[in-house]
Amino acid sequence: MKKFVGLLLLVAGIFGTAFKADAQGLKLGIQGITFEPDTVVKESVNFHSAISVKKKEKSTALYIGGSKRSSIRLFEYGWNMLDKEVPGDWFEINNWKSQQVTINPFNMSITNAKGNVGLSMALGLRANNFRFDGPYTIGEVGGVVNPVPVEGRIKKTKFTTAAIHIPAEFTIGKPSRFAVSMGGFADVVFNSHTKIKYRGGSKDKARDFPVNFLQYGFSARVSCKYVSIYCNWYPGGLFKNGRGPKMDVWSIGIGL
Amino acid sequence: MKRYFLLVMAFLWCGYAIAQSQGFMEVYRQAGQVLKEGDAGITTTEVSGKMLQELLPSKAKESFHVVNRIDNIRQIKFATSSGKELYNRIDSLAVNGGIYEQMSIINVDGQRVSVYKAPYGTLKSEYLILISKDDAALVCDIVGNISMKDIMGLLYGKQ
Repeated sequence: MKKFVGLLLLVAGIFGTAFKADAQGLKLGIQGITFEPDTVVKESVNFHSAISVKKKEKSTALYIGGSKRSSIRLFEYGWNMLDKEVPGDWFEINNWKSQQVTINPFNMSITNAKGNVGLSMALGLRANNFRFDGPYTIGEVGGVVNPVPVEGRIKKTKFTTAAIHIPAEFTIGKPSRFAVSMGGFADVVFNSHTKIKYRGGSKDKARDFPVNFLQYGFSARVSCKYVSIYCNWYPGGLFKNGRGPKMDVWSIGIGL
Repeated sequence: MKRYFLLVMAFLWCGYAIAQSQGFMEVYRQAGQVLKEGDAGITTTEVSGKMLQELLPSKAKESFHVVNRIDNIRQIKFATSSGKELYNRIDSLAVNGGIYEQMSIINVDGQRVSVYKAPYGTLKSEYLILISKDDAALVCDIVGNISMKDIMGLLYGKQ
């Protein structure tokens, strides 16, 4: 093998190479094509080779990047479902109209050199809507969340939480092709309110419900060509312990 | 086995040799001959696109970066006026050869730069760049899917 490499070098006529692997740019001048590393020293390439002997090296470097290698997408749209601890308890929602909207403007990924194993993180905003399936809303009675009937011609009645969304996922595969991710997230809830819309245009709003300030959960995701289908599970419940109906929130959605 | 490798290399060499225009390649081979005879004033250099990508891995990650679009670079460096005759031949080939179209003559950092262009394949181009300053001169021939903007970027060190 040594002989072969030696022969290659001899025939190819490599007179000398002077370059650095971490060269940063190209410039063409009177000295020919030069590579400019970060340092002030400019080194010129001076070889005469038609065949390059390529030595494959395993890279152990980690790449920190943005959304390109991240499985978490900029925009996510999903549907919420409830798993109540007491079956038949109140808080019936219309799943189809209980949407989850997430925007992740800040995205970060740490991957291996090939980009097929990595950690994706993001910072964004999430709104969880729960559209009630009957003519009622919620209100605090004695510090506990209870159903409150609504009179009149209702167009819609819903409960919404808004939170700062911080997800982190471990990804196997390339989100640009195919990837599977599992991870978790933390939602810092900064707003919760109900909204009743009546036919005719009038609205009613009530704010500050005893929801968990920090809502955590787990997520699983399958990505294909930067489009993903995800599933979230909030095991911690929506309301503080003893202050509202106990339930887990599940959501299924797509990320774009 | 050796014979087989030599044949493969000879085949590859031929493949590379047709990259640039025939006129340029004649002068380039002649420069190589002068180099073998030990003229210290002339240096020939060849860099393949793959080699560029190896040398600049950070740039090669950007899919549309020029290092991913260059097929081959061949250059002849004249350190002294000893190779003036060869330089003049290429200059004459560029101006009167009927292959190249003159794109620009500019001054970059006190260097006189002439850029000529010739078609190469269907989508690609060949750029012949002649640079001279005092007694020193350089002829660089680049082929690939490149544009005048890329050449300017190379000349002004913005690549």
